[in-house]
Amino acid sequence: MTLESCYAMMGGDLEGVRGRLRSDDRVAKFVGMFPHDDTFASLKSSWEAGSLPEAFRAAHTLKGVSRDLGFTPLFEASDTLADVLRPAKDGGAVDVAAAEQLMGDVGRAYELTIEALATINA
Amino acid sequence: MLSVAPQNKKKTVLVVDDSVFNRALLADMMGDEFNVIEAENGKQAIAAISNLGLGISLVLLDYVMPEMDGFAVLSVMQKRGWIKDIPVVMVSTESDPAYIERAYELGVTDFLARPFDMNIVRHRVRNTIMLYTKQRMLAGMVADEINERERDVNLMVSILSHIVEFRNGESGMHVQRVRILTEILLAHIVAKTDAYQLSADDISMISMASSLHDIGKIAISEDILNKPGRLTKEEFEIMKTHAAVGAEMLENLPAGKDEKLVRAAYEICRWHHERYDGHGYPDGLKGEDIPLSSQVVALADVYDALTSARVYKPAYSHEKAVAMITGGECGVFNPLLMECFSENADDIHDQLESISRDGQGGFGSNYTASTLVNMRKDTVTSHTIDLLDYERMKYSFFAEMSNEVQFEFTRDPAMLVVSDYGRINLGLPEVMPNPLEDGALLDMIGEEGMDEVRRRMTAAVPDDPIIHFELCGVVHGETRWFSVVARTLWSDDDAPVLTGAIGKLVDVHDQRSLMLDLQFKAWHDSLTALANHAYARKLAIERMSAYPDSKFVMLIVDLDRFKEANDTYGHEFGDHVLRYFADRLRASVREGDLVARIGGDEFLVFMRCDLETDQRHLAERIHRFIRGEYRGFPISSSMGVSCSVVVGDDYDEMFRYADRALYRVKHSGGGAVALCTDEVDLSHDHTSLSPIDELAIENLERRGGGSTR
Repeated sequence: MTLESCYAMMGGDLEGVRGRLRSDDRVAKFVGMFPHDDTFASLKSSWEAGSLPEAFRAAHTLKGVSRDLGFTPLFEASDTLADVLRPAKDGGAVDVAAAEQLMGDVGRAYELTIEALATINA
Repeated sequence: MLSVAPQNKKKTVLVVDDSVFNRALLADMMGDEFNVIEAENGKQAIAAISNLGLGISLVLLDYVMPEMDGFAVLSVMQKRGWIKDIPVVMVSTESDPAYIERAYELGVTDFLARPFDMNIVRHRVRNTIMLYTKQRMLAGMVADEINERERDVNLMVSILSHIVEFRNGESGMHVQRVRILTEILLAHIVAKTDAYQLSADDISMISMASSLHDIGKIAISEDILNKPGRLTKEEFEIMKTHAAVGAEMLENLPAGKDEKLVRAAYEICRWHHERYDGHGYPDGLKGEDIPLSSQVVALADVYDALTSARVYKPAYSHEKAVAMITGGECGVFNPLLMECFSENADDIHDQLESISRDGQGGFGSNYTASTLVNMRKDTVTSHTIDLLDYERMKYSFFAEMSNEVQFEFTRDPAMLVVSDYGRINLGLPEVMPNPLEDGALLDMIGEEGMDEVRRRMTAAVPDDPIIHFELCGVVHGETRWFSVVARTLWSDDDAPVLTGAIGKLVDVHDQRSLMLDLQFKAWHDSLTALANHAYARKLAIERMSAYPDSKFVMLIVDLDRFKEANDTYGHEFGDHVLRYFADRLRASVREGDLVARIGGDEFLVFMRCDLETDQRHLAERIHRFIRGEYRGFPISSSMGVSCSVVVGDDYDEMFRYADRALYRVKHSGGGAVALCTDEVDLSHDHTSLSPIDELAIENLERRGGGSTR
């Protein structure tokens, strides 16, 4: 399968990424790196461990990476989650119920992204 | 248009981001054009900048990071003055205006917003680096140019004024001293009041112009100028024309008469003999009608004339000159100026003294130079940067070669940076914020070490800033000794404040162990590890002088029939017997008592015994305790005892009497204890030997040959 069908499957913005990264080779290289990036894993583990500042950092990083790669649904979910978790950075209170729900959204978007990426080499 | 010289060397960009993905993406986008180094967090970033300095051309800095975030990095860069020379581009997913505002306030040059666009990343990095390089070059060129111009102008002015002095037969220092005095006085006036609007440039310019105050004297005949006695009224009138003549010369300059320097010189020439009450010449100006520059030069001129020798007068002392001026003997000056002069008279005196002493007879004053340096402190010239880079390279090379750990500590922000060698060999992080609370450092040197460091730092003073001490630390599970030498750093204020320290830490463990080992060997018997005689004597004497009111007992113990053990069972067995006996003897006394092996089979015990009143009883108890057998060989001993109560607190006397008592025992077959007592031992005439003494000496010789191994 191609980059096009992969991005179509996840609802991503391939044209935007192509414009920014300038070559399909580079897009493929960094898209290929994404499944090995441990940011989502550390988001999950720090959330489960109740370590909110760390969870914020991970959500923030995930948002940046997914935006760079044009993974639109994952970017949107992690962006919203980062906003909810942000107060934790400075020791503030976090709306845990909202964050819980958004964790679910991010998880689903991540799964979708990974599934779509898996099709590239299939 | 200026263009940046092409450089073959790739510029280095430091990418600071906690996400591997982000670092990889940015590095890839920048391409081969740059040499990219990476840091995972703020601490690593600071370490990299500390190490490479201006070797880093640009920092791409993420904001959200563990350990130390982007803002904290910026604060440190600002406090250390790095931000001026190393541009920082903030990498950001944030769009909150407050956050952007704060980043700009902390000195970032620009932002790179997510998502990254390759073209933008590449161009922004390239342009920012070029901008900084150009700026640095320009700053360097301007500074060099200014320095050169200033040097030339100074030189010309100094030649001109020297010509006047030369005719005058003056020392050649007058112009220079007036100039320095003018500068000092103006600086004090500016510090004291806002009444006059003078910038540092104005002060520098007026001081330079002051050099020309006497140029009008070129028109005065040498007969009058150099007349040793008092001038006649007519002569004085001629002399007085030099003020107006000098001004006229400047006014008639074909070019440049409207230049600030020339205007200032005009005022000074014309009015440096005016007085505040209107009694001066040539115009009889009064009060503030006289320009401040002229007022200041007038005072400086008078002070220097008084304190210098002239054909018509000797040199007066500083004190006398001050008294004459403040007493109004040289005319009336501006009260504010007089105040500044009186308040700083001593400072003025010291500065002038140090200048004449150092023979700063060249052109341009040192004072000016240092003021200029201070004023331009913020301008780092390209030359300075090159020097700094060279120093940094030298420093890191020597650090690497010397097996030393070099460190740098700053108090604000509280941070300790150790050299690479330290990081590898001590297992410490390269950068430690709040080092006194740092876990790794605490693990290494412990609370005690931390206290020691704190104590040493607090004890240092600006006049004696070097601290030197030894410190014990645990490195890779092993306790080792280190020697620490550091120089504490202080602020420039009147009351200097400790700002940090630089220093090195050297592993002296092996050296120290060797020393201790040698020292131990020198003082101990290698077979039994007991003290040897020399050491026992030293310790015993120390103890006696430490406890002058105590009583002491000395036992000399001889192992009976030891020669037999050696002869019958061999030397190896003999050694075992000696070790066994040494152990028994040690076990027979209290911990603090002194036990030594003083000869082949002779031992010594030295005890403080304030409680035990019966020394014989004590000795016999020990004697019984050490009796027994070792693998079939009977252990028995002979003992000679002396007490400080009887012979006095003198080690050698105690030894002599204990020894004598021992020989009595030996003489009567051994295996017993003998005390030196007044009747038996002290009654001897010390000059002649009794039969017992003779026997003792004979014994000594025999034993000396027979029982040592």
